[in-house]
Amino acid sequence: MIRVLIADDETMIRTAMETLLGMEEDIEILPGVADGRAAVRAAQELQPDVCILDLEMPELDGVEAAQEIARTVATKVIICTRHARPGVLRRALAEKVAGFVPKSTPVERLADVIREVMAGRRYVDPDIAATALTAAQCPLTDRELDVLRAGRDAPTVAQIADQLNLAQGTVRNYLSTAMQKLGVSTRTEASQYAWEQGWI
Amino acid sequence: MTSSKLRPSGQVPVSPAASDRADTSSRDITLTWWYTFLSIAGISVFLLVVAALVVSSLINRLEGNTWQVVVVLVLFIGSSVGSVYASWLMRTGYGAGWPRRSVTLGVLALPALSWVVTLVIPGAVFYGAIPLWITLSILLALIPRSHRWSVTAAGLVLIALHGLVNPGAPSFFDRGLLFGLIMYILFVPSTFLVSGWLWHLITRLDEARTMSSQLAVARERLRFASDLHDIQGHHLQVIALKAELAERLLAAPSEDHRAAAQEAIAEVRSLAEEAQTETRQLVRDLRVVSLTEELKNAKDVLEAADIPTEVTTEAKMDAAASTEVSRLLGLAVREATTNILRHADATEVRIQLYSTQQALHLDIHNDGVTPSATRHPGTGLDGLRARFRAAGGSIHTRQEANTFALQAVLPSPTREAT
Repeated sequence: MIRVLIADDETMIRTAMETLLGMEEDIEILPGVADGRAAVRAAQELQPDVCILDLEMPELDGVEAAQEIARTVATKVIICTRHARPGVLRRALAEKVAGFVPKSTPVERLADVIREVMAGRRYVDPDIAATALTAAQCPLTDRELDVLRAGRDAPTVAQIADQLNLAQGTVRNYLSTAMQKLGVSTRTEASQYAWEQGWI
Repeated sequence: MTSSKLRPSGQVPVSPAASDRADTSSRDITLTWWYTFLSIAGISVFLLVVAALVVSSLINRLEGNTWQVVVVLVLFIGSSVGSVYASWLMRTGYGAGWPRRSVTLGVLALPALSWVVTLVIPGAVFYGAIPLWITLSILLALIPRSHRWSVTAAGLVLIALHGLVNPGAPSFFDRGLLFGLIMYILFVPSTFLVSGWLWHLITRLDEARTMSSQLAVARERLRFASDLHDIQGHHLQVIALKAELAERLLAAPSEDHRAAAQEAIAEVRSLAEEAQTETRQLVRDLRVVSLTEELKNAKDVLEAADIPTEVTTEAKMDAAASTEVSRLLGLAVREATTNILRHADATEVRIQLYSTQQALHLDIHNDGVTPSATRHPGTGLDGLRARFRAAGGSIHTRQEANTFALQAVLPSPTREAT
């Protein structure tokens, strides 16, 4: 039996996936969770063979949760997403994610993907790969990306500075070069754009 | 809630490359502004300094006191500060109306005082009125068009009045300086007005340019939204109908009805999948990147998966490749990369892009092919073959031991051209 844990904050989708996957003879479904933090805890506790993580989850996103899980548990991770942003695949592969599928994948095929992943292969959906390959190259430096990432949750420059242990002036400089490179006029837009491209 | 913020916004992506053009244009505009400002401020300061020197030498010739010279210099140099400030206001204030009352009075105070003080210096009839005339000339560019004539008239009256009251006026005119006076009266305000107007024109043009690019983005969004609505709206409508049908059929428990219901549900499912495929296609079509960029992305993605990748391209290739050619070769790169990613065992990938006399070649080699991996040949490979064949090219694949090679060939566009 392949023991599978599903983490997705959209309960309707999760329960439907759980029920359908549970109908496969060789798959056993563990109790699902609704956010990234809970996914990490459940994975450590239940030691599933495969974790299916939604990319957009509260607390930790799928890739972040995958990173934490890979560090502590010997389990395969499949990331599942509705909207594949271009750069995310690269981040996911760097975290040794074994599978990357869109949410539109029929559950029967998802079961095949689980089996493939269990056999030590990787599965990347062709559409997602195409999106990643036709991505715009990221013009930002790591520091600029850090600042934009922190800026998605922190409402003020002071808070970003605090979070990254940087001076406020430095944060402002990074923000303004990032905004200039992306051709946007506010830091919210810059963060949003970087997120849409999957850079953060 | 955190999760709702994480959902895609549905914004149509705008290429960051577009910002390069905006950058150069905004730099040009800034340069134009500095040129305008420095020429207006420079001319007015120059004229004020000349006037101050002339008035000082008049005082010296009349054997006046040193403090008189000092007062004149202070007043005229003070006026030049005001005129520089007034020129600065033109950046955002062309034709916008009078500056704040305190600013207007502050800017006019010293010139007015100079006007009064120089009344007692015989012969200062024209130079004594210069500070006021220059300051009023700069203000002309700021105030509404309807006020301009009356302000000009008021300035002329003040010059004439200075001439009438000043004791040295008759000798001034005797020396034939009237011509110079008229030149000043015409030259100063018209120069400032024309400079201000040109500056204003440039900002208006820039606004129009920005607006038209925003409009283009808005139009593109609208087009995208309506395409999306067409795809989703159509499919959802049929899905809703079929679901309703299935629901009704399931209520009637005959064997035929159940089979029909199952069929309807299967249709719902395939329609939903179709809608998703079409929607993704729509989004993907928005992205167009160059082949070079696509190859660079392939290297990045493969290396993120710990597969060392070597990409060699002939420099002239990208320039020679038409959109259609680079689109086809891009498809081949994507197909090959996706397949390589799936065989988790590849340890080396070589991608070569080169041209020969007759054709463009894209060779992709990888190792780590396990027998089991071939159980799932890339489904896209057949589609790729068909598309290359249609373009007069071909796709060859070769598997030896544990290596796999994909070779895409397209007839050389340069040969077609000749």
